[in-house]
Amino acid sequence: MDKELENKILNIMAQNPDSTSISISQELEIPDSQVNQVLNKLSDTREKILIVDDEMDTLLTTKRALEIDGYNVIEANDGKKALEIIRKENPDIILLDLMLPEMDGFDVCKKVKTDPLYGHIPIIMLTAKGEIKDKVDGIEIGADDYVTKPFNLSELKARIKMILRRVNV
Amino acid sequence: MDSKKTSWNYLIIAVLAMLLIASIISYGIDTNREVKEVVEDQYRERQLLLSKHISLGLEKYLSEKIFLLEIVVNHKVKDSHPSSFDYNSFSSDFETIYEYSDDYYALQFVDVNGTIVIGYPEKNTPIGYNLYDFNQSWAFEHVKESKDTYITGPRELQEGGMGTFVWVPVYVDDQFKGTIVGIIKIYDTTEKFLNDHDIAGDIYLIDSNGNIIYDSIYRDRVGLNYIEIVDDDNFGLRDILEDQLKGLDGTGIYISYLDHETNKYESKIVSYSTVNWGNHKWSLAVKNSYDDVDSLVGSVYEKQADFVVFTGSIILLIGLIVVLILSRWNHELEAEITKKTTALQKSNQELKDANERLTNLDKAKTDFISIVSHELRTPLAAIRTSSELLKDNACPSHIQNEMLELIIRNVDRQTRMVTDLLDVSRLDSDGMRFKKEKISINELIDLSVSEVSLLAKDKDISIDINIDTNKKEIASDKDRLTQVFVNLLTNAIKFTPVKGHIDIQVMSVNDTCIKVNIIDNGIGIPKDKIDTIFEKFYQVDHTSTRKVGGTGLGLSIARGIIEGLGGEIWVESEEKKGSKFTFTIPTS
Repeated sequence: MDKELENKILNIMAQNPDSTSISISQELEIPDSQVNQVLNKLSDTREKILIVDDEMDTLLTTKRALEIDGYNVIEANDGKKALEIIRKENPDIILLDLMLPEMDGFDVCKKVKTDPLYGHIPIIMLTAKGEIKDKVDGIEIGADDYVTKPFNLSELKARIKMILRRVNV
Repeated sequence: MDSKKTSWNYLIIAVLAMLLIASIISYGIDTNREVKEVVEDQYRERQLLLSKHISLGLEKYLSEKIFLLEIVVNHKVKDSHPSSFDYNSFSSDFETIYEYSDDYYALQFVDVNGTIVIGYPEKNTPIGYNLYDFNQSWAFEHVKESKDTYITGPRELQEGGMGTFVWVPVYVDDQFKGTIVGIIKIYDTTEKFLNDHDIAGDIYLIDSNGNIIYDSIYRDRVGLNYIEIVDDDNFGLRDILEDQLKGLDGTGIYISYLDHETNKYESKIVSYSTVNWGNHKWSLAVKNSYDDVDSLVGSVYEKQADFVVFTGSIILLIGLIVVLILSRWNHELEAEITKKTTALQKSNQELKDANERLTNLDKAKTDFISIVSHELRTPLAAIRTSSELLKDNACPSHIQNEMLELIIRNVDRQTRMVTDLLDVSRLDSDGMRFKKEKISINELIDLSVSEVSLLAKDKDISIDINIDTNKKEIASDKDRLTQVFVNLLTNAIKFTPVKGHIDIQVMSVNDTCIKVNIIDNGIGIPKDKIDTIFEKFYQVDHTSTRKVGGTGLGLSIARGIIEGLGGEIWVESEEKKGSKFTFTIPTS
């Protein structure tokens, strides 16, 4: 729906370089604010990070910290929702918690990494400390990196930066 | 398979019994052969003894006839003088002997000239018959020479029949006076002797040339030579006769064919012994059917067969009894094994179950530790990250406030978690001490409700209290009971939608116990989960933990406290309609 709308707006803009948000809204018969929202989203060039965690407070702090650093942060509370959002938003990187309701982090990782469309998206697993086996398994199923909880914020940021640079190169 | 095994057992026992019977039969046959041999030997011996007995008897009997004549002669001679000897004096003796012994055909006196001068009975005496005239003087001459008794014959008498002539010389002081001749009808005498003795079997008597003197069956054979008349129908008889002619004693068997075409025959046993009578050497034979031996042995066979049948029956009977006992034993054993197997299976199952319970317990423990570590770490992680964020000067002020609130919230959460964990630990190790103090029921409920009033208010949930008991006070642990109420109410509020309703009902069960119901109209509990909701960290839906918050230990702690206080706790629930938690508390 959103993608469809985005495509329509992009098509109008391609045909008529002079079109404004108002003219587009008139053409598509939708509110001007909605067009602006899409345009904002389209014009957001910040790197998009998806955080998947069922602990709201953990998620919130990480989100705020990354937002301050200028990332576009989106969130998901469980595995199923995470997959939906990945398809919709096509994030640049995923921070994936292991213990998740509905579908755990391993399964989400496997699903993403075996998907030809999204397999390229780097995944950093967030695991509890000491769960060595979890780490090994995480790497084996294609996770790009892992960070143990509770994590050092600057370390997390450094790893995100490093992985994104590697991907962009 | 068992029945197959049993039938094998039967077969083996049957074979063993058969072998035993067979060995007994074979031993019996062996023994029988020996017995037959012994019986045959005995029979031969007996027959020989019989013939010897008859021969001796006959010998003695005939000898007496001679002695009689010799005694008469000696008596006469002793009292006589050669000049005064008168043969006429024998007349009265002859008559006496003739009448007395009944075996003589005639008694005669032959004078020195060879002429028969006197005799008795006169009708059998040819007076005036001169031996020399008829060339019959050999025996007369012989006894005159030898001065000893001599026997001639038997030979045909003029009047018929066979006669044996006993010549006794008469000497008076070495002067020959003549001879006495006693003519014995040997056939009649022999028959008379045998009749007196009642002897079993056929008897014949032959002289040293084989001439038949006596034959108890074929009288017309008398005078014939036996060897000459023996034919091939009596196989082996000739050998016996030859042995007899040699003067031997013994026993022989010959086969007498009754019918050549049907090959019917009869075995005969002949025992023979010599009869020495003066200068004669005869042979007497007793003939008997040898089949008597067989019938004798047959009777032994019969006895033995009886024995074998009897023994065999006993062996079979014992075998049968053994089989019965074994099979019965087998059955008992099988029953015992079945019983033991069942018991083993049962105990195996019990062990399996116990093992499963232990495995489950172990898993529960691991899960518990894993959950606890997660639950303890999560707030810390949040606190740490937000603290780091606050440290950063670039943090905008509205985010600073948000982070501070988050920190306080997580510290509270951590505190709750630690408190609950301590309670769980105490309950698990029976380390929880319960006080006993007077508690007003009203006060207790009011206090508990006020503790959760904020939560209830947030969701606009109404709580109704209905106390229906005469008891105003109970003796129990106030703080712990408050905890139970708070936990159950918190739980009810969590799972009850906005504007929901909660009922608290208190009633008496009896004098020593009250019952409390906490009823909500929330989401309810699925039937299959109802048994597990009192377990640690249990929540029907894992996500619900996140949705509703809480440590997941509340119900477990509530149960631990109620049971520790001596009450019971249970839940009734219908999905989507609500749950009813009930617990009882002793009042004193």
